[in-house]
Amino acid sequence: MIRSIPSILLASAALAACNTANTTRPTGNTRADGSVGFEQIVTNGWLNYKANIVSVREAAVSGNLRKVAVEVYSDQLTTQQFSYRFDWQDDGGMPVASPTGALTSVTIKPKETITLTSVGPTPAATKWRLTFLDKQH
Amino acid sequence: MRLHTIPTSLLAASVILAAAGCQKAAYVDPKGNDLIVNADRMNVQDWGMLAEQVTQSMMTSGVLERLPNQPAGVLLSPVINTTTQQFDTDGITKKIRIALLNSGRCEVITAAGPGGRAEDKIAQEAKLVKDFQSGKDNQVDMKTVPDVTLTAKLLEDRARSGNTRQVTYILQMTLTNTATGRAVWEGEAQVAKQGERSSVGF
Repeated sequence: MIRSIPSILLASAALAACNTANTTRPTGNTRADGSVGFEQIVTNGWLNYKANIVSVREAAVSGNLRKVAVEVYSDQLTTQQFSYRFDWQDDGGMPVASPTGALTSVTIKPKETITLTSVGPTPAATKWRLTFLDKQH
Repeated sequence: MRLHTIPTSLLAASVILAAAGCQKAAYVDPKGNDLIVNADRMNVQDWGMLAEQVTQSMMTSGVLERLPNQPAGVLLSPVINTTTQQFDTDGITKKIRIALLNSGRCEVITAAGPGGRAEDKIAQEAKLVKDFQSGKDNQVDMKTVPDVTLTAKLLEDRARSGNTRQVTYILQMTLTNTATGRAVWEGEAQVAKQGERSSVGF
């Protein structure tokens, strides 16, 4: 009975982790290869294996709108699915609503690298946050 | 025996009635992953995904910043819906319009339209009165003549393999420069969904 309690706690923690999100945001630093530095809050390790961020790039499009391209790699040996959403903010960190920004489901093949992109909804949208959610758990 | 069965059936009936009276309803995040997904029909999240793809393509192309008038006046034609479903296609076009307006590169013309059929009749009347008062009523107001027009078509493709059914929705858009009469941008977005036979209504 005493032995089973830690096991139950571990199992509950593992199950709870399946529903949690992984979040990424830029640090504002530009690397030597032109990519943008980023920081991640990983609360779901399994999700991070199939949606592992390789690089982040930013550019200006349509004159004054910010575009972000995030390369995501799957380390898995089977086809996987996950969902993602970009949320945009202004310089002050206030949310900038997007009429089209919704959670998008994607399928990623084994060892595949895909690129997720988003364009800031207004010229004021200068900061972004990328949220990954597990579609299967 | 009979005395026992009557209370039991009454109890069962009361339980069913109580359960029916406790239907659960809850708000869900319209941008989250708790929304219902139908494999045989368009859902609101499909509208968002289609609109997102075409607006991103349009913004990235840089065509809007190259237009001579900034912000450019745009007039949108109603979406031609050739899918098997009847729904208000404004669900898609409104998202695209909001995205275009938010970009600061475009303004949607609402007080004028083809054949004098404006989207906003009240604005059209008000503008006529203001033009009359300012003595401009006999002049063509170029601000109500679109710099670009946007046309769109929504298509559907269905396929099946064994018990798996697949439906793909395709949104095609064309942006035409009215000064030249030529298309300056075209975009296409796709959303594909699959479902098992038992769960879809094909």
